[in-house]
Amino acid sequence: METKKEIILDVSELEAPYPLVEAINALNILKDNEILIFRHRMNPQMLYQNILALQLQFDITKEEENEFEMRIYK
Amino acid sequence: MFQGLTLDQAPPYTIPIKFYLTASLYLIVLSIITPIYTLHVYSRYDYEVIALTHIFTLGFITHIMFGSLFQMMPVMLSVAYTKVVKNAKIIYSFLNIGLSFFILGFLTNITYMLGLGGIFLAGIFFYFCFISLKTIFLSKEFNALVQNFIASFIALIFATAFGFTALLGHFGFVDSVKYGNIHIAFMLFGWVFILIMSVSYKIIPMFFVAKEFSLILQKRLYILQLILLLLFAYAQIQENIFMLTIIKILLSSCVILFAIFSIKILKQRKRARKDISVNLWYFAMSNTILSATLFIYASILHVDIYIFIGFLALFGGIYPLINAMLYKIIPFLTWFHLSSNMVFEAEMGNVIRKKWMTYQVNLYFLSFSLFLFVPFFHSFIIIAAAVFFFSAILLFINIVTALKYYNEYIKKKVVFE
Repeated sequence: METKKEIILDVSELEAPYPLVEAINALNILKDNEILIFRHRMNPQMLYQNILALQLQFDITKEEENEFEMRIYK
Repeated sequence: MFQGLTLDQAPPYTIPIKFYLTASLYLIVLSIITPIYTLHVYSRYDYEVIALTHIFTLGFITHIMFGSLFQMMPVMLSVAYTKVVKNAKIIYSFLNIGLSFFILGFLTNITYMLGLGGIFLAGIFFYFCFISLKTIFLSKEFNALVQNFIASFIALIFATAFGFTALLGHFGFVDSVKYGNIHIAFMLFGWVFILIMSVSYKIIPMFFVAKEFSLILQKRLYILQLILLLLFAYAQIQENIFMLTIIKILLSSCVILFAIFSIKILKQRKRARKDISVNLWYFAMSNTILSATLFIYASILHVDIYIFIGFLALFGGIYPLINAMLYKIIPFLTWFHLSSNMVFEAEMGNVIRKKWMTYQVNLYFLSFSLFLFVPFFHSFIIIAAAVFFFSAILLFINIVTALKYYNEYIKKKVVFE
C-alpha cells in the first residue's frame, strides 16, 4: 500500500473562524498522495460538509477534552 | 485561497437579524416605559412589574434565543429546521401579536387581552418546541450539546404549560402565585439557564481560545437541573416549604457552579486579549453568582428581596451574557454568510466597530450602576432608564451596521454560470 505524505495542520490556538478558514484552505489543495492531519481543541462541526463536498475521506483519531485530531485524505 | 463554506442548510441571513433587531427595539421600548410604570410599584406581583418583566423576557431574551437557534442549529448540530423561512415568519408574527396582547392586558388590566395573549404565546412556544425537538432528533449525534438542547426544550414545555396555568389564576381558576413560581423556575433555571450553558460550552472554546468545559459538567448538570425542577414543581404544588427551600439551594448551587467554571475557563484562556465580550461575560457571571447567593439567603431566611434578585439575575446576569454572545455571534454569522456566498474580503473584526460596541457596553454598565441607587432614591429610575435608552439605541445601531456591512459586501458575490 502506498504511504501518503503527512501534512500537519494545528489550529488549536486560533479563534473562530480561522481554524475553519485554514482547514478549508488545506482541504482545497490536498493532493491524492497526501493526508491532512488536522488538530484542533474541539470537533469542527462545520467542516464536515466541506469534506463531503470535496468527496474526501476522514478518520477521527482523537476526540478528548480539549484535544481533537482527524486524518483527512482522498 | 479560501474557497468557501458549503452550508446549504443555513437559513437566510435576514432571519436571525430580524429577530435581533426586534429584540433591541423591545429594549428601547422597555427603557421608555420603565420610568412611567415603575415609579410607584414595590412588589413583584404588581401587574406593571409582570408586564415589564415580560417585555424583557419575551421581547428581548426570547427573540434573541429563537433567532439564534434558527441560525445556530445548523452550525452547531449540523441539522437545520425544515421550511425555515416559513416557520420563522409564523413564529415571529405570532410571538409579537401574542406579546402585544399580553403586555397590554397587564398594563390596562383588560382580561380578554391577557387571555388572548396567553393563548397566542403558549401556542407559539409549544410549536417552536415541537419543530425544534423534531430537528434536534434528526441529528446523527447524541453528544452533550444535543442532550443539553433537548433538556432546555423539555424545560420550555413545562415552563409554558405552568405559565399558561398561572395565567388562568388571573381569571380566578387556580392559585396564580403557586403556578407562577413553577413557571419562573422552569423558565430561568431550566430553559434559559440550560440553553445558555449549552451555547457557552460551544462559544467559549470557539471564540475565546479557551479550554472546553469538563465533560462531566456538560453531561450531568442539565440532568440534575431537570430533576430538581420537577421536584420543585412537586414541592410547590404540595406547599412543602422545607423541601422547597432545599431545592432552591440546590438549584442555585448548580448555577453558581457553572458561573465559577465559566470564570475559571475564561481566566485560563490561551490568548488573554482585551475583549468587550469577555468583560461582559465576567460581569454577567459575577452577578449570576451574587443573585444565586442572595436567592439562597432569601429562601433560608424568608426575606422578601425578590425584586432585587430578579433585577440582578435578569439585568445583571442574563442581559450582559446575551449582549456578549451577540457581539460574537453577529460578526461570525455575517462573515459566515458572506464566505458561503464566495465573498472573501469580509473580516469578522470589521463587521461592527469596536469603538461603538464599547460605547454601548459602557452605557449599559453606567445604567446598571444607576439602577442600584433606585431603592434609596426612587427618582434615579428616570436617569438609569434614560442611560439604558441610549445603550439600547446603540445596540440597535450596531446590529444595523452589521446588516449594512452584509448588504454592502454581498454585492461582490460571484455568480457562476
